[in-house]
Amino acid sequence: MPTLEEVYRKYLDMVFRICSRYCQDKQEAEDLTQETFLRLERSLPSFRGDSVLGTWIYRISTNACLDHLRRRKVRTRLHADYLDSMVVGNLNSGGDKVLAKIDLDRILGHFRPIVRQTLFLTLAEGLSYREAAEVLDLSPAAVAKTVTRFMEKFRSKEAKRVRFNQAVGKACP
Amino acid sequence: MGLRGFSDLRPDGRATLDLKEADGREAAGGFSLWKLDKLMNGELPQAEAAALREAISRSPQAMRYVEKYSALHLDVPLGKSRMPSADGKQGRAARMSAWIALRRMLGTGNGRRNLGFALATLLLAGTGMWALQLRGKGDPKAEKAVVGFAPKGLEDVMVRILISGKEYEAGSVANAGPGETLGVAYRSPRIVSAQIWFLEEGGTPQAMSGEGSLQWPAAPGWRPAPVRILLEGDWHRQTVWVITAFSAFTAAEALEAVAGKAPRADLHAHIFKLAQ
Repeated sequence: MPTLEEVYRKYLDMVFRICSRYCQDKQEAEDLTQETFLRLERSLPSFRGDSVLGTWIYRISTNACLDHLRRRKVRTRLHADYLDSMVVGNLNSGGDKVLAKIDLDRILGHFRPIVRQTLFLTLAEGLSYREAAEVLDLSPAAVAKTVTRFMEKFRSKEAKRVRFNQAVGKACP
Repeated sequence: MGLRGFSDLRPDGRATLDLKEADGREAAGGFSLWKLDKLMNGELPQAEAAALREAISRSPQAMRYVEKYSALHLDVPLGKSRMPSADGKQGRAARMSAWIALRRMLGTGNGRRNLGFALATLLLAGTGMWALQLRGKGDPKAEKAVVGFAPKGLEDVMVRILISGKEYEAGSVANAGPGETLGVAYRSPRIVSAQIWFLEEGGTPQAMSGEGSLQWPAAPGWRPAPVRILLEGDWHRQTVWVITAFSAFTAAEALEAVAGKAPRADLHAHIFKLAQ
């Protein structure tokens, strides 16, 4: 079992990098890094070694970022301008115009935590289904199903919205 | 990324997965940030690292990302509390570190708890509650204490409005309609007097919050004001002013502030636009 000091020495920069992707400035990223290590300290005794330590730390770090983004969303509007361009690029790399509209606001919505984490890892962090499955300790098929369902719902909602706007446009030109 | 998911479902609803396709993100232009993190932390197998480096070299955006994030380095020893800032306010990280230190001193986990520390914590909690009680009563002593912890630079009142769980800064346009509730959040180094006024299209400014000024306690951090206003009537756009001052003011003074001619230096009109 690695000690917290060992984990801290080896993974501090990695956790800081992950946190920096979702923070406005260095101070905020530092605070989030500290919070992540506080979580790591709490969870370290329960680390069973089933997954690679780096994978487990990545899961905890991205969870901390997800919670941070949700808190920020409650406090104020979530703006994409401080997100890293790679995250924005991943979110916008949908297969078509409709899927490219998926933003973090949608992912942070009222989902079960595991669904939210799955969507966050695949859509914002850009992990493949197999990678996300490894991080979340799920089967790749389960990850695929979750993402697909979300996309189907999103696509159907967008279609409804477009139809509604067209109807309103016709009624009130 | 997106289309990949749709081809994974069989007509019977069970997922089948083409893992080769699912792992082909780099070819599709997206990058797994986890892989990039592992690469930068030296945790990727050699062959995979070489393939990823090649993919990165083809993408200017990924190159910029790796250059930027490889240079990121944090040099803070574990458990070191950040020094309090000049205004005496500790950051969240400092409080976290202090909490870690306190937990270690209390020896949580092995059953040995220091009675002295427990008593000291109780004493601190009691003092905190006493200070909060004074603050609630608007005691000048407590107000002075709050000023001592106010963030540097907070000399004026800052106001945001809350509609459907979203906050809007002063000067911004908020999406709102009849039937929704308008709330206010604020920061102030001192007790603040406030009035809320509104103007619908073609009307004249009217007080939303009734006669007289509302009194809100000092708030060094953002705090919801004890006021909720139901937006009624038939309107498409309206302007809302939250007028604040450090002492009570009259409706006439508020109207002058709404017109942009504040009669006192501490009287400010924070303007918001509501549109459906």
